[in-house]
Amino acid sequence: MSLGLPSHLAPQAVNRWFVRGLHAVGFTTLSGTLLITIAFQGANPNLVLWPAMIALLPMMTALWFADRMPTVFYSTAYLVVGGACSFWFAVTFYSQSAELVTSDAFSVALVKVALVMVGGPRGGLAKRIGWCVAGYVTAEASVDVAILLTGKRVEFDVTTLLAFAVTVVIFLLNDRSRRLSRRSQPLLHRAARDEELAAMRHRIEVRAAALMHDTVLNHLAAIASTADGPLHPALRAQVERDLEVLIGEEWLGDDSPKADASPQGDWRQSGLFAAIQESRAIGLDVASTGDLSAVARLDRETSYALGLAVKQCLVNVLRHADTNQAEVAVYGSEEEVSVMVVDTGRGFTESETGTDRLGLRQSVRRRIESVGGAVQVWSTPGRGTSIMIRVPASRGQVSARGTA
Amino acid sequence: MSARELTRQQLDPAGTAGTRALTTTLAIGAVGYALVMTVVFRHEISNPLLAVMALVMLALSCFLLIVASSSYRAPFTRGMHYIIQVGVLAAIALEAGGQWTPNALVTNDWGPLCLGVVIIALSPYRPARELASAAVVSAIFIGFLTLLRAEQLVSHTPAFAFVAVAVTPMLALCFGACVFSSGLVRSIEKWQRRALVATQNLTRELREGIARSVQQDRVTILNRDVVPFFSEVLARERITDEDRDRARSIADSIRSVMVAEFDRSWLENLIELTGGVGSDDPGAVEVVVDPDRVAPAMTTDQRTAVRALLVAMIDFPGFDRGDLRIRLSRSGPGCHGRVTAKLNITDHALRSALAPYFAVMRAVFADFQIDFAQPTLTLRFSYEQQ
Repeated sequence: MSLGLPSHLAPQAVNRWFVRGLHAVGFTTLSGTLLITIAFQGANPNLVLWPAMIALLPMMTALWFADRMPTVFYSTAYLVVGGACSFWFAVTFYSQSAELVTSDAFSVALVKVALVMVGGPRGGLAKRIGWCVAGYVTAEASVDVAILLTGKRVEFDVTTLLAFAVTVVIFLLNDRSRRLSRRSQPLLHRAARDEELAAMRHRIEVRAAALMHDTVLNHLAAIASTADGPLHPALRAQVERDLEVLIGEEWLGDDSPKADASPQGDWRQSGLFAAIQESRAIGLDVASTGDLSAVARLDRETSYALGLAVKQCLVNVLRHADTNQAEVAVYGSEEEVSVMVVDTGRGFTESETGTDRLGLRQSVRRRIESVGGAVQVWSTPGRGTSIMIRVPASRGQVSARGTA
Repeated sequence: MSARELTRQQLDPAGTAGTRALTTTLAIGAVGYALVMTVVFRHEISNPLLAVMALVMLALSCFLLIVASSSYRAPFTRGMHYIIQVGVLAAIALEAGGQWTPNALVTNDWGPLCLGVVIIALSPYRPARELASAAVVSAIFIGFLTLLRAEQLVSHTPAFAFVAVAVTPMLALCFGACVFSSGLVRSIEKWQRRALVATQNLTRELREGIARSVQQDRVTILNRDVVPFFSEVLARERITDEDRDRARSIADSIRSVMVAEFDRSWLENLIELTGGVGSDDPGAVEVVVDPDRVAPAMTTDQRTAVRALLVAMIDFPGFDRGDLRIRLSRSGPGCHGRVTAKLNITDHALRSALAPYFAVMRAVFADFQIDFAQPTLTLRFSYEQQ
């Protein structure tokens, strides 16, 4: 979720990058000044500007250190070195012809602007503005002294004052803008966490509902349709198993397919194989065809979900289709595995099944969609049903597709 | 919705909602600076019409910037950025045209500096790379324009120095803005990666407790009906008519509970959870109207935004849950949502208190609209089906 930085980290990050932004401004103005000085020197070889060029180098180095290590020491060092270099630059510059001074006083201003961009170490608003003021004062003092020493007239420098003022204004407004979101950030982050937890609860509920359907509801239905007489041994065993599962704590436990999502290797270990075997045990004649080994490529979670879904399809055949014959056909490709469950029973219209019928919705569709697969149902009353289940061969390859 | 861009506005919509004051100040400041410079150096103007047009063009561009930076109009698009930047470049060209005189000093030009300030103002809304490349193109344009002027200026200044003087301030401001913006974006991304891991760990830790609570919800009905029934059936040798009837009736009651649970969306759960204990509060069924069952189609980000906004609104002093209505419906291939509530506050108070949440909503929904006719607040949004 794009919620930005939490309120306790935001001021630090904003300050750190703001200071580095100031340093980038400083580097650019110093580089620009160097280029301008080189241009003047190149155009007029009689001028002695090379000391000014050299003066810029220690200043850039000090700025580099202040940028990499924003401590009081390196920031102070930048002010000291920068102040000395500005003085040096200005003395060299103002010792030249009046014509140069008139046409290029701007490059001196750029050097001063670089000093205003000192940034300083981490600290509150007052400290940051304090460093900015220190940079401005150092720049003005060192250059004004240089100008006076060369016997020139000190003129008010609007450029540097403007740079100083804009920096302070940005400091102030940035601080104010963070205050606005300070109240909302904790609530937003809490909402994001609650949403994660709600989503997890929902997954567990879906799983519980599917499990309940596969066990209790199926077996209650089996009891309801049992003829007078003793309980069928298979059903008896399943009811016993239900009781163990319901009373025990394992039924919602994380049998964590995600923890071990490695392919299984043998189709006899697959959920689909188990589903077919169990369906045969309760009296359905299941023919399995196609590329059965493709199922072995599925990871545990997908294989488990596929097995339970196919089991539910086969139970539906036995319960509703009025036939005891079904076919399970498997098709495998590199990207996905498709399983078709076909019967020639009485068929149905999905939209006309009762709203309390959860089998196809919950145990088949939901399950398959939760592992990134898709389910399509073709059924015509009187002519049987075909259910196509497609699952990705490895997770994430096939997105959930529209279902029929 | 298209993929989200790496801008502060997109990655930290709530935090960026407050930067508009800075954007507005910088935009107004740029126009003010241009105005002052034009007046102070009016003797350098050779064509007053072009000079005035330059100011108008700059003012228009800055006005667009202020309008487009509103969190109600987010996201700030690339197209809008280019329109504003081209507008300022046109102002720079007009300014140069208005001062086409040998007396002019390049350092008195307001254009490049104003462009730099505009780029700083743009930095929360556009990716650093886009700003940097647009600035380099602008620098070439300004450099070319300066070279043209340098030919007729009576000065011994080398042409290259003219160009460097003209573009250095603009490039300095732009690179500063880019470093700030890209660094902050990287910090946000880094923090989000960490937060994701922390949330996943927390979720894992809490999983067991949640699973138990889900189990507990079901254990009641199972212990009451199913467990005794199964035990009896197993203890007995034969199945009777009574057993069959009981099996059917238990199955029906479980199924009806499951259907009710299955049909409850996260939004209804949220409304129930935030309902407090007031007995007069309407239930989730009344508050949430979702006939097409499209609440689950929202992404996690969208749910989080709606959740945070609803929680913030419900906590508002004087908020009456009885007036809250959330209506979701299918609309063509997508879904449409409408939230209405009554809030007895001024428009300004509403916007300042809920601005960060609105900004997040705007970042995650395609067309989020706010309509506040005191005291009725209506929010509309659309989203695609997952």
